[in-house]
Amino acid sequence: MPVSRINSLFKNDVGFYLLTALLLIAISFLAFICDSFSQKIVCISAAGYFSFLLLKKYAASLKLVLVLVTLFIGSIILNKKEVHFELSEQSQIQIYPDQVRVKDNYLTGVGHFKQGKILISGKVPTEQENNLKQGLPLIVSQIKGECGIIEPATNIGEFDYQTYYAAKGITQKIKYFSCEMKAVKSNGVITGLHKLRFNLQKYFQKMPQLLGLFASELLLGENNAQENQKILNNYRDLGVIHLLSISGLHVGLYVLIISTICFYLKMTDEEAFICCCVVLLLGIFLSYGQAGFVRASLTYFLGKICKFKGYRVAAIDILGLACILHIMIVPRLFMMAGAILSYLLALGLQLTNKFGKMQQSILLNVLLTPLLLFYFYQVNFLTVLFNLMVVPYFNWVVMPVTFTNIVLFSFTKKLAPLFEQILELGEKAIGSLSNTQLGLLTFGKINWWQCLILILITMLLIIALRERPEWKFNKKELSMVLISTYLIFFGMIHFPLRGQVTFIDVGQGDSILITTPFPRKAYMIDTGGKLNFSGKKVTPQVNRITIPFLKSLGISTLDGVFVSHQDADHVGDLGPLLEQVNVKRIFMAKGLINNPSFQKRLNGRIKHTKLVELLAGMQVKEPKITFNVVYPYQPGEGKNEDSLSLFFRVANKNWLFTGDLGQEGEKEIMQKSNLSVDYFKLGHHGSKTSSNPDFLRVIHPQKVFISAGRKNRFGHPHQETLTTLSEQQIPWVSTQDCGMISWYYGGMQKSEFNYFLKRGKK
Amino acid sequence: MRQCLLCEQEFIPPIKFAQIFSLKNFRQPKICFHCLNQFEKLTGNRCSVCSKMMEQGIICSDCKKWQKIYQGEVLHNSALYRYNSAFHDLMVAYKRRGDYVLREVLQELSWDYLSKTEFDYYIPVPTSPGHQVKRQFDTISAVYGDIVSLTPLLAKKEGSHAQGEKNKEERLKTPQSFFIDKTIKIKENIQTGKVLLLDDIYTTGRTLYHARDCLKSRFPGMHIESFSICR
Repeated sequence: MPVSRINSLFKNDVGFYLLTALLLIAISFLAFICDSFSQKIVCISAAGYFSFLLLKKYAASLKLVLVLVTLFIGSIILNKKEVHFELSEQSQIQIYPDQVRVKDNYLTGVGHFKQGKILISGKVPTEQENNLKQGLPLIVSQIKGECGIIEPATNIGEFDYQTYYAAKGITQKIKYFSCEMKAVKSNGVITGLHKLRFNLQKYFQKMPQLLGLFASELLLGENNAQENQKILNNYRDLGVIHLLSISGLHVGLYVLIISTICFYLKMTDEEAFICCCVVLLLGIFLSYGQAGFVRASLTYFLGKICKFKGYRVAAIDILGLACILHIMIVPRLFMMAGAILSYLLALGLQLTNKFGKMQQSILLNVLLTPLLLFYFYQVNFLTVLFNLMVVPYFNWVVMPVTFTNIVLFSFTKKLAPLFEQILELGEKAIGSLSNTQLGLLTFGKINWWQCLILILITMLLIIALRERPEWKFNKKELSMVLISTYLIFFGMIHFPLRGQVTFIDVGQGDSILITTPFPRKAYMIDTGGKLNFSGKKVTPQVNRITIPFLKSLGISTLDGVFVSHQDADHVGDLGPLLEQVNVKRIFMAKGLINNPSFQKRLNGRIKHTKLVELLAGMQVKEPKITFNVVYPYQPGEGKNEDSLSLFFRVANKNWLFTGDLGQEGEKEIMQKSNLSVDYFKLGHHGSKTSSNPDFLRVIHPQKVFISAGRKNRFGHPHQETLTTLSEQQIPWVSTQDCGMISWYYGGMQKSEFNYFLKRGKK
Repeated sequence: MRQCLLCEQEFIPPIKFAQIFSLKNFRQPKICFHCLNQFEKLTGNRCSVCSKMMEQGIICSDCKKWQKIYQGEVLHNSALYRYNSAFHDLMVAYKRRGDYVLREVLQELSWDYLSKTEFDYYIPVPTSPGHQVKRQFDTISAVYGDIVSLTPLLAKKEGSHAQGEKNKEERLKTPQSFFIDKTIKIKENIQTGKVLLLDDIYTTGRTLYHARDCLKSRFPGMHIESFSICR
């Protein structure tokens, strides 16, 4: 490119690249993210607005816009082309040691096939495991196994791995039963880089826990979430989780260190720049293109080039240009929450650069709040304060200690325990601060348009504060609008017009949430849970499914939890639930409390929770709902046949839940109480031990629900049960097909069902 | 990135997000921050009649004289900048050397104020026909014509000398040289309309008072004020 051309790239007026970047972002949302019609309309109008602005104000650079948009659309088309992995005899998958984890001879991670990437899992022979441990990549061929798409989330609020991996261009997974594995010896650059990354991982794993965690977070942008969940949660609750991830801050740090070294080596500015670029490129690879790191690196790179060439370009246009380059290379960029947060933060920094430090920090937090509510459903009012406390600790203790240890650990391991102790002290303090739950508000999930509106109003407010333009609304009115919008959205979540009965898809197991409107009260029948045979500590699934779901509804207190009986698939996660959600009362069948394994679940977790024992004939009277106990008649030990069974009526519909109660119990209910039931949760996940045909005929429900796991090893629901249902022409739905099943009632509307997975809709 | 019209340095104009995202066109700044700072804004205690900066007092000595001459019927003049050497250089380049593009600098200095005023008529102080032929443009209309819609009601007689070439005493003795241009079509309400006279520099006030006299003789009911970038 001739010099004059390059010049002209930088001669555009202020705001040109910012607007062009926004235009490209709108196009990328349209291409990758929008599902619904209204989302598309919003994106198209945003794109139209930005093009209109460009056309009107920067007409001289129209050609450049056209070129960029065309290039970008080309890049999208290339990227969108489905790379589908077909399992055949010829198919080969290459795996790099740094991208997979091997535990108990079982391998999980990302593999590469010819055109793309795929999730891979299966057993590894010891010999090959050793090859991996030496940092050698493996080629997997002659694969026999199951290939399928990555399953989407099946519950509201649940983390969606399908979208997460789609952002990285991975849509499929393969589980192999048998295959040929061969180690590859190659000296290519890519292999070398993967090996370097693997060696770093190994190196960090040898360190004490905290040092290893911070080292791998700060250098590789990854963590072993399972082992460090508590620490990560503490950071999240205080609203300072961004400190942990590799981000733009590191770029500044690296550049500072390298420039200082280069200065003492008497190198020129240009040479130092080249050194920085090499290190930043390495950093980008090590963190696998972590969006914030790439953004900051590009910004640094472009800023320096402009400085050397003497171009004077506004900071927002450098940011815009960085974004344009970034999105051209990674068109799916904004599918990642991290990228959206990072770029919004960068824009926010430019918007607020005229304010004082404190004011800037507050405004930035306000700007990011809508996104935090959208992704994490909670916000901490004191985040600014916590930042003030944690940031210095992080910059002056964690970072120096971690980086010193990374260098020193290879020479001597003697200092590591001392460093670890220092960090433990800090984490303890952060932990106890976080445990106070100070300032933490479970706001609930706002949806995309609410998030967009809040961000826009906040931006208008910041612009009004900074530039005092002649708008119809001044800053006071805008802040009032912002506050009232928050209040309205809060009200919509916390004072809903409708109640619900929701079968949470907890896999094989039961968990049902019941809420009432005016006042909103929340009750839960069973918590779900997994049998854990390994004896190792695993993250309870309630953390992944139920807690986010409750948070998305803004529920931090359950007014009552009914436990049917002692089985793990019903009450397995009661303990973790009690630790994270305020439970007012636990209702159980009489006698369950004497069960030692049940006592173990409650052990040490009951502080403000009342325990209530129930027997048939008793009632739990609540403001808007009355739970009638219909079983058991005798105290029991919490076995299936002792299941606490509940009957209630809301919005003119009768509901019955019988836990895992068997046919004998069902008959007893049938004889002793005269029930007419509209909706019935089929007993024992549809097992043939329950669902007595006579019982079903008597209560004759309109619809029954099966809460069972996909491909569960018990074969639930059993064919016998399904035959009974079809004979009696009772329609049934299952969480296996539908994911979460919700029934909404009240609010002057007809009650209706909603199935989370549309494919399960009948 | 833009080039400053005065120092020819490249500069980044201050970022206004409200302008970037507004549907309306906005004027890009023509001069850099440094050059803009050379022009000294009128601040502090100022003459209530002609905006001149003063140490103390309410009315400046010039205006006191006019008060006497016109029996209190003074001309209210708004001005924005002090006539300092930077301004002098600018005016020399613009008027004497006829650097037409510099009108954009003068527009930038006066745009925000002038576009917010609400007068019925904006009447530029005219140049003598001789000067205009020499320069090929009218120095005042060239500046203000883009900001407000002008009614060039006044004209200047041939042969009158430019004020800039005289000393203060000579200026004050300058005879009336304006007359009403009858070819200009005007609406009825100009008799009682609000009028703003537009000039570039207010030194003694002689020119603007002459202009007002000329208008008053024809339209006695007119409410007249004046504006000059400099005082």
